Order: sequence, then structure tokens, then C-alpha cells
Amino acid sequence: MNDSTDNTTESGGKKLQSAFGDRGTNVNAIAYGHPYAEQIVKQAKEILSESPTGLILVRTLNTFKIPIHVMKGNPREGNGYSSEMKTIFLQIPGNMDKASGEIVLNLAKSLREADQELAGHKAPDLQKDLMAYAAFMHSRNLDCLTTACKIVKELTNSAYFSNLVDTLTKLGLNEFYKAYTDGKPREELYDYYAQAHDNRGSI
Amino acid sequence: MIINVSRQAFANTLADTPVMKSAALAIVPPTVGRALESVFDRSGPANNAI
Repeated sequence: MNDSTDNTTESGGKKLQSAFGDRGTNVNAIAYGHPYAEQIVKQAKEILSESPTGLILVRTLNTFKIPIHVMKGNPREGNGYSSEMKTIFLQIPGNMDKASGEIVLNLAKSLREADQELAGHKAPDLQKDLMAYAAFMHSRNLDCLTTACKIVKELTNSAYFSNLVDTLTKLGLNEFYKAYTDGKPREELYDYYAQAHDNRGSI
Repeated sequence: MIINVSRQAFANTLADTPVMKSAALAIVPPTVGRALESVFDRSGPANNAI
């Protein structure tokens, strides 16, 4: 059967598809696609949906039908929501077939970026004013990181909690998370954000 | 975050911490789920739950 929506292989197995919108395109045929994109995104969404805040973001994703494009690559590079393409981009190592803590956190932050954008919170033109653009981005990063920490905290009693906290530590964000759970005000959280940004070169 | 500017140039904006901090904190993002709420706002009070 040559129908592009046919989801089975000749041997009866299920073809792998990208997360959204390709109507059955075999992502293995796309050079930069990820072979396990669909199952990884599904797992990450299920984990996020166990937290009240994550559930709202997943509902936003579904309601606005935001595409998620998963590429093979370093998860610390180029993740996030592209306002130009109205798409969330995630980079995941090609040999990974499960949603790691880093992927879950990256998706949480990306969903919050999309949520902000859809609510009309848009970045100023970089070409016109770098400092205004940077202030917006740092504000958005701080908020996205805070939202990710809120989700992790809401998952305290879940099976994923220890993995997510370990991931925050691995990412150099343990001090930020501690400050968040200690109830530090936004002004202080910004200092932890700036320090983590300095240490990592990005968030 | 997708940044269309070099990482270093962007990171450098944090160097002047007090000024950037003040500017960044003055920008208050919408609450989580505001985009979703706006959809239900438009569709009427009967559908106003998330």
C-alpha cells in the first residue's frame, strides 16, 4: 500500500513518524530527523501532564497544534520555540529512544516560550535594539526556567522527580532550583539565573 | 531558546548586571496558560474552563 498515511511496514510493524504534521512521513528518510521522535515526545508530554502546570502547557500545545521538530543532535544546543517558524525544535542524541530528564525540561521550557508568544508576549526586533532584545530574552529565560522548576516541584511525589532533580544538577541549575523551592523572590532568582548562564554559556 | 545572535554577544549583555537585571525584571511575562485562556475567553463563558 502506497498511501502516505499507511502507518505499517511491510512486515506489519509500525512505522516511526515525526511528532506532528507529516501525515506518516518516515522520519528515517529525513537526514536530520530522529528515528524515535514520536515516542520520545509522547513520553515527555505524558510526564509533563502529571504536573498541573505541565498539563496546562501540554493543553496549550494541543490546542494551538504547535509542531515539534525533533532533530538528532546535542540536547544542549538549539532547543526552543521559534517564533518565525511557529515550531518547537528539540535536539536529541540519535541513539536515545526514551525521554530523558533533559528532554523533559527542554520541552517544558520550550512549551512555556510558545505559551508566552501565543499570549502576545513577543521579542522586540534584535536589529533595532540588542539590549531591549536581550532584556526580553533574559526575562523570558528566567520565567521559562522558573516554570520548569515549578513543574519539577509539582512532580515531587512522582517516579520522575529524582531524575529531574539530578538533571537540574547536571545542567548546573541546582542552585537555581534550590532558590526557587526556598521561595526566593524574582529579583534573587535573576541572580541565580545570571550565574548559571555565566557558568554554562547559555540556559 | 533560539537565538539569532552570537552566544558571546548575548552572554555579554549580562555583564552589565544591574542595568540588564533592572530591564529584564521590568518585563513581566503573562501567566502560564494565558494563551489557552484567551481561546476560551473568545468562545464564551460556557467554555471558560481550562
